[in-house]
Amino acid sequence: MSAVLSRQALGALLIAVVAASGGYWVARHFQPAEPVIPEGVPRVPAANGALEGQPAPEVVVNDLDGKPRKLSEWRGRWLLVNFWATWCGPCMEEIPLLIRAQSEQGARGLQVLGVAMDESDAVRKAVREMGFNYPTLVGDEAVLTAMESLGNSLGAIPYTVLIGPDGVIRYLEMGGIDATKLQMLLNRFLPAAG
Amino acid sequence: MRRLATWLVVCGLGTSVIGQSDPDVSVFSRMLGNGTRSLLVLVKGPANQPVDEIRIELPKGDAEQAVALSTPAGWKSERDGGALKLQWTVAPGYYLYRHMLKVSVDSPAKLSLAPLQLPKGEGKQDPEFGAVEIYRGQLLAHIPLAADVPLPRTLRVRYQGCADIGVCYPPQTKLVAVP
Repeated sequence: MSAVLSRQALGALLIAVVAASGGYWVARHFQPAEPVIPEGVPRVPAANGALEGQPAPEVVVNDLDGKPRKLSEWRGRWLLVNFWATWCGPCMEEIPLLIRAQSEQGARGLQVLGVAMDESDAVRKAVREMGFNYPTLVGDEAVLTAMESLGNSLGAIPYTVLIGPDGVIRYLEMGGIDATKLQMLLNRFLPAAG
Repeated sequence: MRRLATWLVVCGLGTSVIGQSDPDVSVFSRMLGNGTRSLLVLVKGPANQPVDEIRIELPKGDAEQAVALSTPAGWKSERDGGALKLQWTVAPGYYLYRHMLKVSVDSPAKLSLAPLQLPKGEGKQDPEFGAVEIYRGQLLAHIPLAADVPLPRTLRVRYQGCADIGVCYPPQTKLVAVP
């Protein structure tokens, strides 16, 4: 009897080892590819994470009609501020994700806000052609100032900031956000759909 | 030997970038600002900028000597009058877009130059922009100069680049004094 149990235990152990190995292989094989950076090449520093949990400073940037807009206008929503530009490939890649997120997660309180470091005409064209469903602000110095005050002293984009309904900074991300990361971010912070 | 002194390190030494009163320049130049500020950025640590420095070389009449003195082996001037040469040093892990490189005369306003001559860049299939050319490391470009054409006093140099890690830097516009 004990020999049978022992064989069963051994079999179960074998299956567990094979399953774990397979899982590990699958996880390794299908994980998102990270950019290969040669040894000695500097990394882009992360955003100023110390700002997470702090009240977002007031930021004023013009909209496409030239009207000054404040971040506090969107208080009460989960505000995802995305700094972008038409000359920035990684920024343009994530725009469709943001459009979809606004469409699908707006009911959960999400409000995407694009802030473009670019020329107005180029931004208008992109907004029209890509079918933006969220507001877009545009500027140069004002945008750099806004990014700095929101934790990005490099001036590099894309740069994304999540601000809670209470005006507190919840998350900062330097660099692009893919679909998985965006979904995880929204699921972590936003309330479940009603 | 005086021609040896024609190398002008714009960003590194910060003595030749003219102020920022020009509206176009002020738009995106704040990241590098004047040369002094860019030097601080470079010293601060991680390469915050795709370009370490821009150099501009002027033959000023003695084209053959200037070319021989200060250009890489194999470089040849295409005209007797020489060429205005510009060199970008792009930090490892960063690249410049060819289609974003522009050089024009800022002063005197009526003076025009021949188009910027650029080497073939590295091909890149950009997910957003399609097939583009980029430059890494040293980029040497030149603008042919006819012998009877006066030199400009100030050039307007514009470039833009990204980092391999997936972020891009705003277009930089610099006014560069021609000595």
